[in-house]
This record gives sequence, structure tokens and C-alpha cells, in this order.
Amino acid sequence: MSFQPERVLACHILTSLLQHRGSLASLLTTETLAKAQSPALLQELCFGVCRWHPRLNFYLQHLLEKPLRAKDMDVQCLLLVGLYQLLFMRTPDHACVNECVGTAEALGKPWAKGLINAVLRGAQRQQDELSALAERDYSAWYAHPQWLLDQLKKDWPAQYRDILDGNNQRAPMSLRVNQLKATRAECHGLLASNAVASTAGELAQHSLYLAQPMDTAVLPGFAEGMVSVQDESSQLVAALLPLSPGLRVLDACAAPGGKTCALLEAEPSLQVLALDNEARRLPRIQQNLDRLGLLATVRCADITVAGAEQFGRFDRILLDVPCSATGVIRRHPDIKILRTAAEVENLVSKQRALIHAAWPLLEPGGYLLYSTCSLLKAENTEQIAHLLSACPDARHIPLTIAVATTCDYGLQLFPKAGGTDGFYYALLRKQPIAE
Amino acid sequence: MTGLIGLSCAQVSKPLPNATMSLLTILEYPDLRLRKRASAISEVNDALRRIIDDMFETMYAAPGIGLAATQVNVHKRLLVLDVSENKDTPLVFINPEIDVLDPEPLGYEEGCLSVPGYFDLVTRPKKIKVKALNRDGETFEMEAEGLLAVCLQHEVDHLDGKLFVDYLSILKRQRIKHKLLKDKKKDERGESRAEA
Ligand SMILES: C[S@@+](CC[C@H](N)C(=O)[O-])C[C@H]1O[C@@H](n2cnc3c(N)ncnc32)[C@H](O)[C@@H]1O
Ligand SMILES: [Zn+2]
Repeated sequence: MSFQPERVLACHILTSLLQHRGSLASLLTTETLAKAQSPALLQELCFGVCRWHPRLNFYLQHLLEKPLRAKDMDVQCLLLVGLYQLLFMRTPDHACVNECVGTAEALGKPWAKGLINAVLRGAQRQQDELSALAERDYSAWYAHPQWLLDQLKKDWPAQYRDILDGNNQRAPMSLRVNQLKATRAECHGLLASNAVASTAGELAQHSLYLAQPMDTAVLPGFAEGMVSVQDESSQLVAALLPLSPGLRVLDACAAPGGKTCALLEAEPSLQVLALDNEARRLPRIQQNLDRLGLLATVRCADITVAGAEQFGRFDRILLDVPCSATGVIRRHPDIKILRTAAEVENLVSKQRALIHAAWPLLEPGGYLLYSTCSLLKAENTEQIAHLLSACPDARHIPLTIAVATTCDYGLQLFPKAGGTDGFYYALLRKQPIAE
Repeated sequence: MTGLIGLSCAQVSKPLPNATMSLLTILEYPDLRLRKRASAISEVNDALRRIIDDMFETMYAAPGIGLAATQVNVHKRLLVLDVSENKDTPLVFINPEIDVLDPEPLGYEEGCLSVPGYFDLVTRPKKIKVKALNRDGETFEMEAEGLLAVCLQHEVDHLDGKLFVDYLSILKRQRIKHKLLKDKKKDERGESRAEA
């Protein structure tokens, strides 16, 4: 039996994705990767086409005489893959065109061979004209959907070009060293002795960046709970939320438990209640706790529905709400294809409901840290403005991080090449009764 | 993910010492020799082990994840495969016999080194048990699911003269046959297949 060609597998995955039948995370499983002779190439094709989809699709619409039928989405994906290989991966022209033509056969669409040949050869010939056209179309040039580009420009007029560039980079792989098991220097040494190069992050005390991403299955120290994979921005929650021994902490949106574990590594005596309303995401929290040797109570619950009083009150609350994930587009480039403006509105009201449900659960004098991996003000500073106007006993506590941008309320990190994801934090305190 | 259950080292095939291996020619559909039924192997000896080593080399070079002896014009009940992610777990099955453990149909987009360039969905039982001899002539049993189960069934089919295209519609099969015959003629005339 033969391997399945990476290009064929990529076409299947991208077709499902463009038909909204899954995401890169749900489609590009280890099972699927093993079907390819080169899993790395398959990954590159899928991520690359998503990352540059608005640009590639712009080129394609110029090169096609008439749009393809909906049922020929696989042919469309093959053309996008071909354009990506030609224009972004610098695959030798001749080989690329021939292999794409051959792939039409494997997809059961031999009629498309002439079309594929014509479109890809056209792209080669007109490369300069196409570039010039795309440069005049913002959505195509910056490779972002129009609604998101407009929103980012409105929210961040001075920074949006850098943000768009940041979103189009590849994300580095960043680790959090479990300070209960090793120091950052020891972990760096362990990695080095296994020929894995890493450097210390500048913002989070226990962070290491790997020179090359690698599978956690073979990452030294991972199985033993010495390290976790986590962006530096997320690690910072443990430094921003004031912690002391034995406090009662609610992590209201906890799955898969990355931040729960970061808090517990910083202060293992915390009494943490980790909630998530999605049952299928809960086991991941427990797995992470077990691997790292940490203890917390894990429950499937939604504080926005009646009965949240049963959990009692908390000294600290981490509210890491579901969001548009526009700060982590470089890790999940399919967001460019799947996310819509309407969904963002929906998320904004969910976040508001979570804020309203969480606030009464905070003890007077206690702190709540609100966080998102969004870049949009509607999900960030505007939510805090809303909370402050709705809850008279709430006070905004300014935070500082060296490279972050200060908003009306809270701090914004932008995605930075070789650095953090885009991230937002705001710290609030409930008035102590005596004041 | 490969679905290896209870795999012992004895079954992993290590090549003969200082053997010089050689690449074998893979027969291509619609070659009629692919339709021959292979006969059982009565003795596992060095001559057979040499064929096994050559088959592995041919399979890795192709590149493929499984190869049946029939495909290299050796009509004996013997197959080799490696479905590991790092391509480092060669397995050999001599006189394999398959029992279905879970008949639930599982679809997989199959391709075959004897039908180059074609892939199509074939459904087969999800979980099987295979009994065979290893390269030392010892009997072993193994349960398989996932890609390993698909690949084993595909290769055992070869030993019975059957190809994955036999599961497709007559129309599709005809089209594949004509296309491969046309490519072959072109190859013989010295033209490049990729130019088609
Ligand atoms: C940004 S993720 C949390 C990531 C997590 N804090 C970490 O660091 O690993 C948001 C989570 O909120 C959960 N969620 C969404 N709505 C919720 C609700 N109403 N109540 C509890 N959890 C909710 C989602 O299932 C998702 O797991
Ligand atoms: Zn085959």
C-alpha cells in the first residue's frame, strides 16, 4: 500500500475546513498526519494555505475565468495549495505544476487537469501583475478578512499594520518550566544535553523558547511534568494575580487547565476550583494536573446558570473567557477563514454574562483577573468599562508589563515575532467592607 | 496510532548480516501476474529472508507502507509493511491468516504501489486478528486496528490476486486501467509521464 500524497490529504482537509466542517485542530490529527510520508509537509501546506488564504484566493479569482462550482471545492483547494507552493514555498515551478495536475486524477477530477495547468502557469507568468493588484487590495495584501482588518484598524490605528504582520508570522514554541520540579536554568541544561536549543523568555520568569518546535511526545522533561507548552503571555497570569498561601481561587473557564496549572506551580497551597462548562474538555485539566503533580478540584459547571452560589466565595478569580482568539491567529491561521463578525458579537455577550456571574462570587477585598487572547477592544477594555459601570464596588488596578500597551483599562500585548501571542489582562478589586 | 497491539521485538524484521540488497520491480495494474494466487510457504530459510530484505528495500524506496510478494512477481504468501510514523518498525508476515474481530466497516482512502497515482475510499472491517510466521519461522498472533488493519487486509488481498480497485465501480476501474496503459505506452516511447 502506498502513502497518501501530502497534497491530496491537504486538499481533503482544506475542503472540509472551507465548508466549515472542522478546524485545523480537529482535522489535522496525528492519525491523519501518519498517512503522509512527510507529516511536516502536510502541516506546512494546511497552515500555509490558511495563513495566506485571503491573498491566495484573491489571486485565484483573478486567474479563473469563471468561479468554480460549490461541489468542486476540492479543485479550488488544490489550486490554492498549488499557488501556495509556487508563490510562498518556492517549490520549483515545473515540478509543482505537474504534481498538481497529477493530483486532479487522485481527487477523481481528471477534467480539471487543463484548468489547473492553465491557472498555475498563468500565476507563474503574471506573478508581478498579481502582486501589484494585491497591493492595492488591503484584505488580500495583509491576508486578513475585511471585517477583521477594518476592526483592527479602528481599534489600533497606530499599531494595526504591525499587528497584521505579527498575525502572519509563524508562532514560536514556548515552554513553562514547573518551578516545583526544576529551575529554568536546570531545564535549559536538560534540553541542551538532549540537543534541544532553547532561550529564556524576557517577560515570564519561568519561560523558555525552543529554537525549533517539537512534538511533546519526544520533548525531554515533558512526560515527567518538568515543562508544559504555554505561551509566555499566558504564563504571566501567575505574576499578575496577587497570590498568597492557602487562598481560595476560582478558575471559571479552566479547560484545558494551562493557567490553572501556572497558578498552582507559583503557589501550590492555593485551594483551586477549576470549572468549565464543556464536559469533553475537562479530562485535559485533570491530565495536566496529574502530569505536573498538582491538586485542584475540577468540575463541569457554568457559573452563568442558576446555582453558582453553591461554590461559595473566592479570594481570587481568574476569568479567562472564551474569545475571538484574534491574538493567536499565528497559531490558528484557520481563524481567518472560520471566524465571523457576528460570532464576535455573540462572544461579547457571553463574556458579559460571565463577568456578571463571577463578580458576586468574589470576596470583598478579593481580586479578579480578566483575560483574553483577543486583540479587539470590544472584548477587552470595553468589557472592563462595562463592569466598572455595572458594579459600583469594583476598582480597576493598573498593571505593568514592560512591552505591553496600556489601554483605558488593562494591558494589551500584540503578537510579536519570536515573542508572545496577542493577549489582554485587566485586574479588578472588590472594595473591602471596611473602606 | 498504528494500532499495534502486543507487538514483541521478535516480529520486527532485522536484515541479514552483510547482505547486499537490491530493488525489485513492482508490477503495475492491469498486469495479469497481479491476479495469480500465491502459494503457502513451507520453509523459512535464508533464501526467503533475502527476498524479505529486498522487499523491504523496495517498499521503503517506492515509498510505501506495505508490499505483498505478488507485487514483485514472487507468488508466495509473504508480505512486509511498516505503518509507524518514523518508518522504523518493519514487520513481516509469512502465511498470514486474518480473522475479523470487529466487522464494523471503516473507510480509508487507499492507494497501491501497483496502481500508482490513484486513491479511493475502500471500506473494510475495523478490527482484525492476524496469525502468521515471523522471519525465523515462528508462529505469532497480533491484533490490529486503524492503519495497520487496513494495510494488512490490503496486502493479504494481493496474495489472493485481488486489488483495491476491485472494490470500485467498473467505470472507475476501466478509467484507471486505460490511463495506466496509456502512461505505459508513453513511457515506452520515452516520454515523461508527468508531461501528460
Ligand atoms: C480561553 S479558554 C480557557 C483556557 C484555559 N484558561 C487555559 O489557560 O488553559 C475558554 C474556556 O471557557 C469555557 N467556557 C465557555 N463558556 C463557559 C461558561 N459559560 N462557563 C464555564 N466555562 C465556559 C470553554 O469551554 C473554554 O474551555
Ligand atoms: Zn497494493
